[in-house]
Amino acid sequence: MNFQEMIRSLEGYWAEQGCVLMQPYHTELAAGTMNPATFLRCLGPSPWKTAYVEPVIRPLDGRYGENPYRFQHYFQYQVILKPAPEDVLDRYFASLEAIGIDLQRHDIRLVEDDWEQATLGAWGLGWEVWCDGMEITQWTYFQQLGGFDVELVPAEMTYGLERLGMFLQGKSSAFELEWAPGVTWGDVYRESEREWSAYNFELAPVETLSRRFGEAEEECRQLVERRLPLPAYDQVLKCSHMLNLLDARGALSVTERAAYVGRVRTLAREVARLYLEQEGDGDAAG
Amino acid sequence: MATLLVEIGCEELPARACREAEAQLPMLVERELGARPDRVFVGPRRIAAVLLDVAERTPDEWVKGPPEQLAEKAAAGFAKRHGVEVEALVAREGFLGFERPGRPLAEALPEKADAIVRGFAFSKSMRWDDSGLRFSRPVRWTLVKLDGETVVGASSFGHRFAEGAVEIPVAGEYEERLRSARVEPDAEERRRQIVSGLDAIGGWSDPAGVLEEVVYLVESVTVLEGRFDERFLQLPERVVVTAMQSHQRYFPLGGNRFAFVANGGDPDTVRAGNEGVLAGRLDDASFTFERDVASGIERLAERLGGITFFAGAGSFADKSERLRDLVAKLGGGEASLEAARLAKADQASELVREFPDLEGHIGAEYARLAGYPEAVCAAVDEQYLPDSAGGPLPQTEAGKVLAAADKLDTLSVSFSLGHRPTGSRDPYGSRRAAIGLCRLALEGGLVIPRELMPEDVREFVEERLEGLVDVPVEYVRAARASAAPDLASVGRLAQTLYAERETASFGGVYTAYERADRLAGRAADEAAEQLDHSLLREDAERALAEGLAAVSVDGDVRKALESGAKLAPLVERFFDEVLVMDEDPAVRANRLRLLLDVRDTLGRLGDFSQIPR
Repeated sequence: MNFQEMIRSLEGYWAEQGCVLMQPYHTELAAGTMNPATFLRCLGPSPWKTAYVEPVIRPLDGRYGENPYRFQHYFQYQVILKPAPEDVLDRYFASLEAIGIDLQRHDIRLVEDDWEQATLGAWGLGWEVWCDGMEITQWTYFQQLGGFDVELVPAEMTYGLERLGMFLQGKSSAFELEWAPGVTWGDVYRESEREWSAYNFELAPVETLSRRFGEAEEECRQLVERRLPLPAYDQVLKCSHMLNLLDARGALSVTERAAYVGRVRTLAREVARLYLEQEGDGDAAG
Repeated sequence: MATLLVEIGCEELPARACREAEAQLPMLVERELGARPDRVFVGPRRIAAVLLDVAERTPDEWVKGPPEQLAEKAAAGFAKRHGVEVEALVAREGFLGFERPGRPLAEALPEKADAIVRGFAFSKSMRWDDSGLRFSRPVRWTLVKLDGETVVGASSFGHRFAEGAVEIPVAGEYEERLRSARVEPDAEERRRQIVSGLDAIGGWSDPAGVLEEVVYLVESVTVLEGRFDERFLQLPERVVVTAMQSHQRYFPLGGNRFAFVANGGDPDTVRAGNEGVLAGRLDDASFTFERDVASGIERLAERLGGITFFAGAGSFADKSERLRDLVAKLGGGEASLEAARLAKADQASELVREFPDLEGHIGAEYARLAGYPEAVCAAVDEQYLPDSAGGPLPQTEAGKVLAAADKLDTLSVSFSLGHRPTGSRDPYGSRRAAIGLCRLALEGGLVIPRELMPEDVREFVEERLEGLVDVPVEYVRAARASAAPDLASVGRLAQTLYAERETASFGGVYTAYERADRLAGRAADEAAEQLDHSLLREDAERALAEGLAAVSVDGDVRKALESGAKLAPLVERFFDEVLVMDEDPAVRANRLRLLLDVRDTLGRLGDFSQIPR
């Protein structure tokens, strides 16, 4: 099963489970969780089921395309079931069968892993799902988002698509993954890894980035005042990405970084509060 | 009498939650059912108790109501709340109430089982639906059987993937039914199976102690052995061990072999998968390691100027400079000076970013590869020791000096930036560093001059001595106020003072100190700047001044006490014969000075006012 077939199988399976198949978001995200289809939709009292591929951007993890396990850009498959149905784990395990994992032959394990994302004021309890010792999914019952308790507890399943693909195809390098017949993951992305690593680590302009961070922060505040949580949230995402770039450039000490994280968290909280207010009014946008 | 089973079925519980459940379940069962369970079974998917001989009726119960004298106001409400007639209430020992007759246990069990489920208190808990229940992970079934009667639920469940629902015909067959459904419910038995499987392979180790977690990571034990490519043996051994243990919960077997515990699956498939995962992790580590080695420790050290130690405290290059300075002041030799220069180089390495717990060790390995003398490498390796209150100390002299310098610097810098630990918050590990310094002095025999510490740091560090020197705290407090020049001598002084507390010389010094302090201490403002011998009029005061000049309190503490004790009769005579508060202010000020000099000279042996008589 090549990479795109694997994605199609997941799409097919979760569509049958009643998920809205979304498309990736239009700005840089460090995790599928940050997509408003997860972060905002998981707030408030409305049920929601979605599944989508999310390209995640983590500048610090780039290795110039030289390391077969590390990339500054890779793919997650994100599934949200809100509220989590009672048989949610069984549904998840069935998705593994849908991509050809024989649950009898392999050793599937749920190993405690409590998830927290400081920039979003979010946390939950769950597991790393291991398949023969390999972490293939981050599995979380959200408890708080943007500092607010969730009303309906969602289950979040985040599949690491490269790892899963390497497992299914028996490859020891992501670059060797067959994406489509005759085309590898490396054919598609190796050069991109090299160029972006150079940008992230060497060229991204530190002063411009911190200025842009401030501008996005300010714009977010103004949009919150104008009661537009969705555009305001995009500015939170931009701040978060600026922060990650500054981090990759080695421009932040531990305490400085903590201060930036605190600023993003404050914004995320404001946006979440506004979104919840509007949800409560019954006119939630998006 | 009957056999009772209560089983709580969960989604996979963390190991810590399993241990918490194991500790709490007997008390919860006793609270609800009046007896402790005979068997407790805890694993990742279930918490269960079996009671072998329970009464099939609950005991009669006296339900206590309001005091008799409040009958008019409160009786009706109490009766209504409990669904009885007011007339049925009787008085007992001054209170109204009624006898609730026992009922069949089966009838009471649903609410009792529910109370047990709700009674657990996990250190981390969650909610997953709108039931309001909080638990470590979602509870998905409850099964209560009284002998053959199913009181709550329907069935249990076997191995998650290999088996489905499991019928438990009678409570007493719980264990064996689960075993035939590929679940070993007894944690002790799982531990035994894991250890015997590891023993059968032989040569296993578990330096990080993952066994306790693995016992609760599986319901069905299969111990397997795997291997990795020998080329990864070029990596520092602790990197390999950390990758195996912290990341994968494997047990190193030495060389390129490891053991692990699976919960099921086809052994060859599972082994191949796990070997692949470890190879991936080691390959990743090798990639990083080779890049670091290609740079070399010298080039890594050169990059330290660009890495912040912490905000306001300069870069790691600045830290290295300060370390060299401190090492010199601690009397460190060539090896420790060189080690100080290289100590932080691994902060610039990529491998430490991946394996932060191995800082220091990785630097030492890189220093070895660069051909530095072993004394230098060992010191770099040991710089963070002791890393816990009871952890081992550095073994080498250079290691001790560097470890002390590192702690002195971290404490001084974090205190100067206002990062004192508060309550349970200690983000810079100040307490651990302070205890480490004390232990390096007391147990490691390192001379750590007190003057190397700013006053607030010194106070903080020496407060830790109170818990480490095995004498009543008053003696440590007394010794802390002495002129002892270094940390270890403060500790030794406290011990000597305590050992000598019953001797005549201690008593003499104590009395002289105390009398001088009691009178002059409060009037210190009025004392003269310096003793003026020309103002000494009385024989007794001249005798005291001469005696004081002859006292030597430095050096051996016992001799110092003997010497100081000679002042006791002179102080006594002084108070008998001399009126301190003379009319002439100059004379008065001079006499106060004399007494303060007595106190301060003896005070070099400690603040005796700290020690209760």
